[in-house]
Amino acid sequence: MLGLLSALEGCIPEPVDIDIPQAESRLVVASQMVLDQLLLVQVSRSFGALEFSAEEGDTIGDSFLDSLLVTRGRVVLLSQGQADTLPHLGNGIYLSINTELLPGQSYRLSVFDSASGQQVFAESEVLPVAEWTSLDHAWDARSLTLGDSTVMDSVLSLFVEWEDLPGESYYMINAYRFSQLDSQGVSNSFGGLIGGGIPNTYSLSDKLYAGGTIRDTLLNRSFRQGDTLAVALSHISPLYYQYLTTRQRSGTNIFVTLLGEPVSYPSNVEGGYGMFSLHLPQLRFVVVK
Amino acid sequence: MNQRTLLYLLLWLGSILPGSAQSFTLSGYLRDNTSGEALVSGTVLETAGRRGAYTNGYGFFSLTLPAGSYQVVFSYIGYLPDTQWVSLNTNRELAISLAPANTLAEEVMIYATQDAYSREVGSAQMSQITLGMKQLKMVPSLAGEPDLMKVIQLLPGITKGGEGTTSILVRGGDPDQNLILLDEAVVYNVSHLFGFFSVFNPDALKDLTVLKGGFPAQYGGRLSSVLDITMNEGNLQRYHLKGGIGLLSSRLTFEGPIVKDKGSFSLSGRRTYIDQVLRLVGVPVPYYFYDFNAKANYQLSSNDRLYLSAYLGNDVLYAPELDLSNDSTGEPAVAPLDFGFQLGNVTTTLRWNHLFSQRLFSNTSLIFTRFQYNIRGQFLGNEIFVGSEVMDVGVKSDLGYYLSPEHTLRFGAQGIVHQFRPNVISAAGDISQLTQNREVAPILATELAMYAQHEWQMAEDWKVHYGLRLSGAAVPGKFYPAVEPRLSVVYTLSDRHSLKFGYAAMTQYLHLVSSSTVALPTDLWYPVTEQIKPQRAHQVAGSYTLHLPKIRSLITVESYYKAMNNLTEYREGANLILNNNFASELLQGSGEAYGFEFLFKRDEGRLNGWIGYTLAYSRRFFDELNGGVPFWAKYDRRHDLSVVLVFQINQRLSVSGVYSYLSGPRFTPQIGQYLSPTPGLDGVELIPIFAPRNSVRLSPANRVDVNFVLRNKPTKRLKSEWAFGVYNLFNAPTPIRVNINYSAERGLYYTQPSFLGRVLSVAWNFEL
Repeated sequence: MLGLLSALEGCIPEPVDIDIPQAESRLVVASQMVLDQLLLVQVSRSFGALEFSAEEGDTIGDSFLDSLLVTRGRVVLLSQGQADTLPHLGNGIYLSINTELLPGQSYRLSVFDSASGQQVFAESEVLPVAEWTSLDHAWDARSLTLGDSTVMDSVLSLFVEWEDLPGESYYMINAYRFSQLDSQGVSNSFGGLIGGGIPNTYSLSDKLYAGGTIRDTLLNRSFRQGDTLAVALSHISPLYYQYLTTRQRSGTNIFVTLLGEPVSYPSNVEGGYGMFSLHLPQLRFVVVK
Repeated sequence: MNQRTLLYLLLWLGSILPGSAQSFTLSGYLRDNTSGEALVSGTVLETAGRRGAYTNGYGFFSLTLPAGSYQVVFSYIGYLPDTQWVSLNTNRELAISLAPANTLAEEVMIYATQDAYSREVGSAQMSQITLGMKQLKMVPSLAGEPDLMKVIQLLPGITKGGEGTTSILVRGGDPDQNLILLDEAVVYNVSHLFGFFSVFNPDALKDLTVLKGGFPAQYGGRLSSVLDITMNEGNLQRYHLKGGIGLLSSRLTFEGPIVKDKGSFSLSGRRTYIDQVLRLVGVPVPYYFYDFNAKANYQLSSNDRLYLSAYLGNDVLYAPELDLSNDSTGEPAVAPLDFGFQLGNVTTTLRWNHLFSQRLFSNTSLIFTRFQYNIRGQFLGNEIFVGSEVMDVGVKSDLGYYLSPEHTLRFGAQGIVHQFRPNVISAAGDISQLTQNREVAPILATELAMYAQHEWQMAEDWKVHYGLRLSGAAVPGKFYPAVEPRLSVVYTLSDRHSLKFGYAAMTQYLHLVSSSTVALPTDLWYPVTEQIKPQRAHQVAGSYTLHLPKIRSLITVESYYKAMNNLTEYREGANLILNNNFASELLQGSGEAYGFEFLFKRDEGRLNGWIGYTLAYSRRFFDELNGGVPFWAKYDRRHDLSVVLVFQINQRLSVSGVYSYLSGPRFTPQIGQYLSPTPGLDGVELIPIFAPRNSVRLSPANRVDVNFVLRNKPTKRLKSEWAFGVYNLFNAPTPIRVNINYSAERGLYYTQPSFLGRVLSVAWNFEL
């Protein structure tokens, strides 16, 4: 029997090659709002599945990363006949400081990469600002008995409240560990296996609430007592909400990665990938006690 | 009911009732003369007028003829026919026993085979294949474990899910669209070992009927197929022991009379020792599965017989403190994994056969079935328990009214109460961020159906089966009714060939919630809801059947088109494993499947087997998937060719082989990626870019399996045989997925690993 099993082991056919056409490289746009007026736009290019594989335990090297970043781009923000050419700060990041983002106004982004000759466009409307009416928290640590064993469990509850805006509205809440942001960023208590920072961003739809004042409790196990948190509330577009929920459903969770279905991320970048989203975050600070 | 309807009904009744000439009924049972087992679908033929009847699922036949004297032949494939002169001046009851034929005595079997094939040519039933266990056991199998589901996969119109697995997909349908019945009880989970072996112990089974279309009205509840599996009844004459010892499992069956010629029992058990085998090569896998089948029957009176059948099977894995140490470094793992699961089916059926008269046969069944799983794990201070259960209690009454050789009515009703506990989750530790502890209240769903079917020989060359099934499902807050017409027509061109047409509407009230990328025990069944509507299919099929008497073979060419509505798929990125709100992950859309099937078969003789080929297309239409663009189904396998040959060299030695060519399944590869900062500015993520859904195929798989069987001398009381098998003789690739590999010369590249290469097997089987 042992011999048979050994024979079996030696008789697995050689893997067969398969040729799968790769996605062509396109420009990728990502936008970030810092505080309430600072707009950062990052421009990079997409790359083939065989140029880099996390599956193979590879890590993105500096030279490869540099080749992805679009540093010779012309990035222009257009609004009401005004063109604001964004200066390049480095690492493919462009900054807008001259254009004031006004609620109710649409902005069009044009990106041209002189290296590849590719050009993409994206448009986003700044939605009315959602204002905090209340933000509180509670810290809870307890032991749980499950089966024969007892385990410690701790959780931060953020009690959030704001007035729902008219119409179908979507919101994003980001919680940052403000006190440690410079040195370590947000840590992951699960050793990077599960989570990957995702729990710090919450996307919410007013369809889930009765209307009027929105009240909810957001749970987070990433933060600890003594942390100072910056919590930002943003009113976002339906497409960006879809992008965030897609990301939450399929992010770096190992279960989804192994078992989930393929995912198509929504994009508002014509001819490229990514998301250009303008929103005006409202910040509040919380010290976890 | 208005007058016009009443008039039509009276005219219809007048047309089907026997004429005024005095008629008498010849009825009885057809059985195996060595075991007393009922012979299903045997033929009773009055030779002069070529009028006949077939035995039903319990071996009962009824043939009403005008008064007179007739030569009647009773036959069944693989048995010596019995010819009797019957004087029919009064109603007659006969108990007919046929003797199994020696496989090498070809001349005596010609009649039975010819008769069965002639009958198949003239039958209105289409898209149906019946397999006996003797035939099935001769087909080469993986690791020498005969597997019913894997033999079914070799039939045209039926393909497999993953390579090596037992899942089946019929005529472009989905895996949950197959009604798999074991003595009338639904078997929800047909696989052991993550789908690599089926739950059906071949020693415990008698025969199998597969229906891919043209469904008779008594069947319903699934869109694509019916697998009606019958368990052995047990030997009415003598005690009998049989079994087998294989590389992975052993099985034992004991059967015999309770009271000779009145009642019998059959007990079968099977257990794997895969855990013990792998321990020998230093791989600690504390996993095993087992099955237990039991059946008993007893004749209460000449008109009444009771049957009780049961099945119990479980997969068990328990790995307390499994050491995850790194083999290459020898370093201990951070913490041991404490993990275990148990999953399995239980089915029980109590049946009562009753003869109201020689022409009215009834069967009433009480049916219980349950499938459940429990998974428990502890790792790094996290603990999780996941459980699920579906349980059915049902009652069914089925009546057959044999009016005349030209008219048979079949009608009945059934009701099933399903109880679902779809997802019980308890979690503690960081893992509870992914899911909430939850135990939902059981969900009750009731399925009801009533049906009637008329089998009518309209003229010598025309026969029609038409029927209607009225079904419905009641779930909290909603009742879904459905009308399911059925029609099968045959036009006999001559006694050698015929044309057939079939139509069937089917409705399905349950869905299998499963991740389509892998088969896991956590797949669970869920009923329709207020939001999730029943699946519905309309299938039309046409066929040409040709009997070749000179070579005792039958050719069937069949083509079909199936339109399906309210199919279920999962939202992109759906996570069904730790999700306790999976109903929100379901999407509904439509689909279509069409194709062409060819079957050449020879059931008896020294050389027998079949050649099957399928050309199939299956597409899906979902507004919220693939950007609303139609896409091919995952198991849209274009070409499927199977050649199954069994050659009896002499009484002691036989050889069999399978050649299989199968187009690869489709998948959606990741073809690109890009970097994106996280919305919280706490990092950068790799966002995948996927190809259009199911746009790429794995490479096709070719495989040759062979099996040699060496029996001891037939005169010995202990009959035994050695079966030597080779799975995948030429060690050909059988791709199962795509990996990304790296080499210094080629960089990153795609490869397709195979399921298994050449596997040798040996098994010893015996009968006493």
